[in-house]
Amino acid sequence: MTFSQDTVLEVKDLRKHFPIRRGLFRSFSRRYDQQYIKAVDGVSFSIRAGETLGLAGESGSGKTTTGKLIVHLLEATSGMIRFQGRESLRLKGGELKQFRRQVQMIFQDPYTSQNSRFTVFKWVQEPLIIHGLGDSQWRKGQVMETLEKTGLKPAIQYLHEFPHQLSGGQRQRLAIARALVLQPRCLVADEPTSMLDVSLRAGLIKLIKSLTVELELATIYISHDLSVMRYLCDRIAIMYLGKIMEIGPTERILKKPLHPYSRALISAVPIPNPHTGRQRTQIPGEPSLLDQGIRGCRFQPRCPLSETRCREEPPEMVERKNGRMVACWNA
Amino acid sequence: MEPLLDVYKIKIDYKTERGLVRAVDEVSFSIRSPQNLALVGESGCGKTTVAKGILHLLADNASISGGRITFQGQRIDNMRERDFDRLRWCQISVISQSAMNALNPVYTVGDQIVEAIQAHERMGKREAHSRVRELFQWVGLPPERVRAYPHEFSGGMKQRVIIAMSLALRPSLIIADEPTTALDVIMQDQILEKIVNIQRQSVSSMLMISHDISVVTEVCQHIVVMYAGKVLESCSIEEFYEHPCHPYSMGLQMAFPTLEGEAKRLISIPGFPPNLLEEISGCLFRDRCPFQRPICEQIAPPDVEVSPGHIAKCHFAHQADGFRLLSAREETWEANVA
Repeated sequence: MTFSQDTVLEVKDLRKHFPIRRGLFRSFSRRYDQQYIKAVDGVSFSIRAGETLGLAGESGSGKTTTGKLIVHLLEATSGMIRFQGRESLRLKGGELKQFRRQVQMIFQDPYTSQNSRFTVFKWVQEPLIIHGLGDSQWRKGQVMETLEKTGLKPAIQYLHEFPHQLSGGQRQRLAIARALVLQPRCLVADEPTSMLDVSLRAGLIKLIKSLTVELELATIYISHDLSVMRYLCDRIAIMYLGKIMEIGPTERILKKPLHPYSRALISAVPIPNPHTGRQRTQIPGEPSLLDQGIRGCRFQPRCPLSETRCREEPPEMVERKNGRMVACWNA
Repeated sequence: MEPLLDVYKIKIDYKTERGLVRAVDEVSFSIRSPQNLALVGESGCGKTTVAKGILHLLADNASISGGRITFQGQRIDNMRERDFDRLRWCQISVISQSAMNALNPVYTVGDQIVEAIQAHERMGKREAHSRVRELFQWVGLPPERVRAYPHEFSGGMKQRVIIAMSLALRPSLIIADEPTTALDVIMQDQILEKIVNIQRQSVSSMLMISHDISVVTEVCQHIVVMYAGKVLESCSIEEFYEHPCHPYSMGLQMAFPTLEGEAKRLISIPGFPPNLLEEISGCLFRDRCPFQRPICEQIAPPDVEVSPGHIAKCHFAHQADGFRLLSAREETWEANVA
């Protein structure tokens, strides 16, 4: 991957290994062998300004951990994250604060992630104060403008409301406003629509899409819902047990998935048409962290196409045409 | 033939500090045997309250204030608790959304199911245990895991345990309240497949409560769309897909993302459901409806029977063909925002 002019974020071989805690006495034992859960195990991708990348996968695939590593909510075990051409993992002090201003995250649950004692104004203004930006008048203008951008308009009506006076959809817009008030370059959105009703979901999807294009954000959208991603993401990365299995343009992956796991994930999505007669997914069971330790491909134990080679050697990420990459011996 | 479950003009009120809220207002539907019926709608539309009303599980401040519920020809809405307890599990069982968190952490899952069986049926311990093993096989869990504790299971497996438990006494009606909402797609698909297969074998009916149109399309035969406590449309799944007659149903369909076909434009229905504390005249959906006319404000729409078994609560249900074309356009819904 080369670093082109408008690449905002580049992630290379990112890893996060959580040590498995054992009892105190066992940790003193000479035979003690520290084991790890490899939540993120060698993830690489890059994302341009104005682009939305989807991270898809089952629970436990490491998609949320990847998001948290990018915004420095977790410290990576190894690997590299380059943000606007600069290595971000080693940043400290003032530089780290500067970085945090530019990379923001919004979370799944708009009900528990907001301070119920803060008014809308206070909540959206707080990041500006933390970063010591502007005087109170400028900040107010900034807050109003951001609220209107996220569709909470006229902003003046919302300024003195408390979160509990807002609906779920409005709360999620508030979360986006708080993230955008600092004018970030990169936005990590962790399933922000999964708690919303269908009639509001479409509105939020469109909002994220249009803000990404208009503000030239690099947006990373984390979800297991491929049907939502289809409307939002330019590219999708399909993750399994901490690794990316396939990455490429959304429509191409959905129409013609190359990796058997992508196929399984796509075929598991129910279709709201009684006449389709969808073939149900053929993948048994669920991901097991034990599969990370095996010699070959980590999807092999559940894979319908598994061969001898898959058991012995893990497949490398291979570049295919149309900007696609896939890690599978059979693809 | 007599329906298995018949809900007729049921009304449920919540007493709150700010007055009475009618959460369910004259909701009617019936389930034959075997049939799967879906109750869909957004949060707060009253779909779960209906289920709780059927199951005698309403909160203390809620009560059924009208209508009747009949199960196998027997009134159950005014039944004494002692009598209703005899139907619970044996005849009517529940799979609820967060049920997987309701498992007792200090008992093995097998013991918990055995306890449920023995509470309702005279059965020896050994026999009950072998029933549990059989159930585990049905839902795709290894039978030896009956001795495991809930924390040893993943979320999807716990939900399977709950399904096994709800099937333990071969009920004729299963009430499933968002049974797969907390799970991701692959697990959801596996579990829905299990539910459908088991139902086919055991000839039971299901009332499925969901907000996910694609899930109910694949599992159910009939759909009831609720909004602000009322039924806006009730018809077969095929009718709902091909000829939705209520603008709200059309909106829901257009708002629902799908992997099928070409990527269509998603619409979002502007506005919010009405506040049920306020007295509202006319149609409850009118403020959000792109096709509203003066009559919608004055007169509450009647139930219009568009075709046999297909009912829509809209003054213009017979003109739905024209609405359907317009509802596919984004502008139609946006124009209404002002």
